[in-house]
Amino acid sequence: MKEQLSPKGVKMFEQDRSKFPEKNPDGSNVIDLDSHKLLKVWHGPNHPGITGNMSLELTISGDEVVECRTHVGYLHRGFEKLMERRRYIQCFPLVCRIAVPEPDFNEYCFAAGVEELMGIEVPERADWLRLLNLEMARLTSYLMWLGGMAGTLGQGAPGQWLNYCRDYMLDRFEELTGGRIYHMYIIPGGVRGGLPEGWADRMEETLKEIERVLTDVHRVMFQNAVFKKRTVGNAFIDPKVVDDYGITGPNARAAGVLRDVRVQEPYLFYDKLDFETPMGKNSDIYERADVRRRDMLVSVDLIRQILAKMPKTGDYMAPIPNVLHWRVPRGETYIRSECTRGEYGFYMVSDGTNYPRRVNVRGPSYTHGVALMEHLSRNINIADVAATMVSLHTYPPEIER
Amino acid sequence: MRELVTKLKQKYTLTDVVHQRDALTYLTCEKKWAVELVTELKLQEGFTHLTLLTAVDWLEEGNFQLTYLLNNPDTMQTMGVRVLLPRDEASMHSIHHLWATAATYQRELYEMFGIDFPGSPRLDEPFILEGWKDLPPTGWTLTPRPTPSAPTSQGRDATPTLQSST
Repeated sequence: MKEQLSPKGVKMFEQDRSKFPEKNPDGSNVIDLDSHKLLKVWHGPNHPGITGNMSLELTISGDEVVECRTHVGYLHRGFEKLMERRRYIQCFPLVCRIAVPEPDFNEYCFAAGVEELMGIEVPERADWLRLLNLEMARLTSYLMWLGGMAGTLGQGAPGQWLNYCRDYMLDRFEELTGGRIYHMYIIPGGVRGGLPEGWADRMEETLKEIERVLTDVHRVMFQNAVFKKRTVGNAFIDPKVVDDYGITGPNARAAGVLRDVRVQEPYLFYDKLDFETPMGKNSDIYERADVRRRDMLVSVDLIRQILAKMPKTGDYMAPIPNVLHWRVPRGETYIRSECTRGEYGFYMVSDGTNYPRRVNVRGPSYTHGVALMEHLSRNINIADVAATMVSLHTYPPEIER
Repeated sequence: MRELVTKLKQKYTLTDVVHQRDALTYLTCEKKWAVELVTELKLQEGFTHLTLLTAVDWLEEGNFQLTYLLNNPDTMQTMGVRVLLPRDEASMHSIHHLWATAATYQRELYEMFGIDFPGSPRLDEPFILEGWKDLPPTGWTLTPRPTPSAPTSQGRDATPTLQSST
C-alpha cells in the first residue's frame, strides 16, 4: 500500500489495486478464477443482509466486488401460471401473496384490471377506502423496511421501535380487514367493508405515535456518524441510467428523477389530495433512505387527509354478478399503481372465458433486484453489498412470481 | 395517441389497434419491423421506459404474443406493441441494446416459454428455474382449458396431460 497524506495531514493508505482484474473491451471486469486473485462468495439466500429469499454470487478481489450475479427462484410459486387455471374470483386470494409486506397493491391492480375489462363501476366510497388501504400499506411496509435498513448497518434499536409501530398498524389492518398480513380487502367491485366504530380515532393515535418514533429515528439513525459514513456517496445510481434499468419509485426520485405514479398518472383520488412527493438528488444509499423516511411522513399526512375527505356513508361494493360465473370480455389492459418501491402493475389478458388468459405482474424488484443490483455491486466493498441491496428495497417473490 | 398511431401507420403495417384508455393503446406489428418500431418509439417519441416485456400463449391459435409495454414518463402515455410469433418458430430479435433491463425479461421468456432471443446476454443461464432440465414449462403447456360451459369437475380438477406444440 502506498502511504499518502490527507488534506488534514493524516497518514492514509492508497488502496492497492495491483490485483484488480483487467478490463474487457466492453468495460466489464476480466474474471479469471485460475489467476488465484479472485474468490467466489455466496451472499445469501440465508443471510440477514439479503431481502427475502435471494442470493448473490459475488466474485471478489480482496474485499472489493468485481462481479455480482443474482440468483432468484427460491420462492417461485408459479402465481401467474396458477391464475390461468383459476376463475377470476379464485385468483383474488392468490394475488395478495405475491408481495408479502404490501399485498394491497396486488389486490388493487388485480381488482381494477378485472373491473376495467368487465366495465364494473366502483362506488366512490369504495375507492376512498381503497386509497386509505393503499396508503396504510405503504406506511406499514416502510416501517419494516426502515428497521431493516438500520439493522443492516448495525443499528438494532430503530428496528425495534419501528416494528413496534408496525404492530400498531397491523392492529388497525386487523380491525379494518380482519387480516394482519394478507388483507384480502380490495375485491373486484369494491372493498369488503367500511370503517369500524371508533377506528379513525385509534388510527389518529397510531399516526401520532409513528410521527414521534420517526422523529427519534431521524435523530438516532440519520444523524448518526457511522450510518452517514457508510451510506453517503455509496452505491450511486446515475440519473442517466434510470430508464435504461427501468428504475422507478424512491430509487429514481433519490436521483432527482420524478417517478411517482400517484403524481404522474393519479389513480383513485390522489388528484384530490394535497401532497408533494419527496425528491432527492445525491442518489446514494443515504438519499434513498431519506426519501423513504420523508415519504412515510407524506403517507401519515395522506391518511389524515383521506379520513377527513372520504364520504362517511354510501355503498362500498358495486352490484356484481355471481362471482363463479364471471365471463370477462376479450381484451387486455395494464393497471399501474405506486407501491413503496415504485411502479407496480398488472398486465391482464382475457380471452372471453371465465379464466384469465394471462396475468403478468410487473414488480419494481424485477428491475431493481436483478439488472440494477448487478450493475451497482460492481467495484463496491463486500461489506456494503447488504446495505446496497436493502437500499433498493427489493422483494424477491415479485421477481419470480 | 391517436395522432401518433396515424403517424406510425404511414411507416409500418399496424393492425388490431385498440385504444383501451386515453393513455393506453395496443397495436400489433409484424415481427420484422417490431424492433425498428420500438426503437423509434424510444428515441423519437419519448417512450423511454420499458414497463414490461412478456408473452401470452395463444395455444389454440398456435402463436405466442410478445407484448412490449412502453411508457412515456413525460406524458404518461403507454403503448403496448404486440408481436405474434409462431409457436414452432419462437424466435425474436433482442432489444437489450435499447434497455439493459430487457436482457432479464428475455432470459425469463427463454426459460419459461422457450422463446429465443439470439444475442441476448446470458440467455442460456438459468433464471428462476435453477436446476430445471425439462422443457420450458409454459411453452409446452397443458391441455387447453375446458370450455366455460363444462362442469367444474372437468375444469381445473381434471387430470392434465402434456402435449407438445408441434
